[in-house]
Amino acid sequence: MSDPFDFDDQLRATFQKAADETRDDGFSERVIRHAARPDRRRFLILGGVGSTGAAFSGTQLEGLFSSMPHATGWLGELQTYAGPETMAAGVMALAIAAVAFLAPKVSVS
Amino acid sequence: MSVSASDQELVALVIATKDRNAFGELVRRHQGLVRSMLTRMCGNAALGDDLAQDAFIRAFTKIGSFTGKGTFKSWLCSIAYREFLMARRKREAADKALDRLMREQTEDSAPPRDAGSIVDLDRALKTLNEEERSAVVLCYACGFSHAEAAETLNAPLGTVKSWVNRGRDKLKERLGQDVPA
Repeated sequence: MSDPFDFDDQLRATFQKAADETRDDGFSERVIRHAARPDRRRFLILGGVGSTGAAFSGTQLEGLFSSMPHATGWLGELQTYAGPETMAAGVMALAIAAVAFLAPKVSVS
Repeated sequence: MSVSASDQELVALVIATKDRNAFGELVRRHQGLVRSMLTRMCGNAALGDDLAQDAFIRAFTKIGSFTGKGTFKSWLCSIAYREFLMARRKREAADKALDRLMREQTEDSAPPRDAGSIVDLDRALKTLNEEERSAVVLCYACGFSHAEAAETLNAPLGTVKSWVNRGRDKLKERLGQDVPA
């Protein structure tokens, strides 16, 4: 009858052999490259979504501010100083600032 | 980077300076184990490699949470196992179909003749259920104690011992008693 511990040792050795045969330098280099820029994918996704959204909403906002009837109160005062393009740009700037505030806390990876 | 530095020294360097060369040395040292472990757990080398890459990147970003309690290797294997679990949850539906297919293939196939080869080990591992496979891989491939495996698998110690023993017995039955190293 064979020693039961013998099988355990042989099993460990087979796992070790599998691990030894799995090594390659290309893998290490890939990991280091990714570790150097872990947020790249997040920036690309957020940047792409943000740019598309900004382009679309900017044109919509400009149209909205252009067709707005003369307002009263603070909005009316704003209309005397700023054209629809300027107001649309202001809203977009606020939206971008909000995204910049939130982006570091959002993980899409 | 000095290859004679211990894992602990390299980890300290990475924590202090985010030195990528030091981390690269840690990756070189442990990539075989982590990739092999995940490949055995997934039953798929490409998926195992992807998960291993994610595990190393997670280890790099979370390295500050390594307290030095236990070895770096154990900590890394625990991260790798969590990556495996996350991927498993995401791909649960697909994996069920894959598992069924693999089981059918395994049941149809004859027992391996060249016991001990890596291919045969992989085939034999596929006859184990997921808990048994994970417990066996952690204990035999990663060198975890039963207690460490129980902590990683989030299961009672007695249950993990039983998974390891059952898995081991199945492997022994499948591979035979003469496993050439």
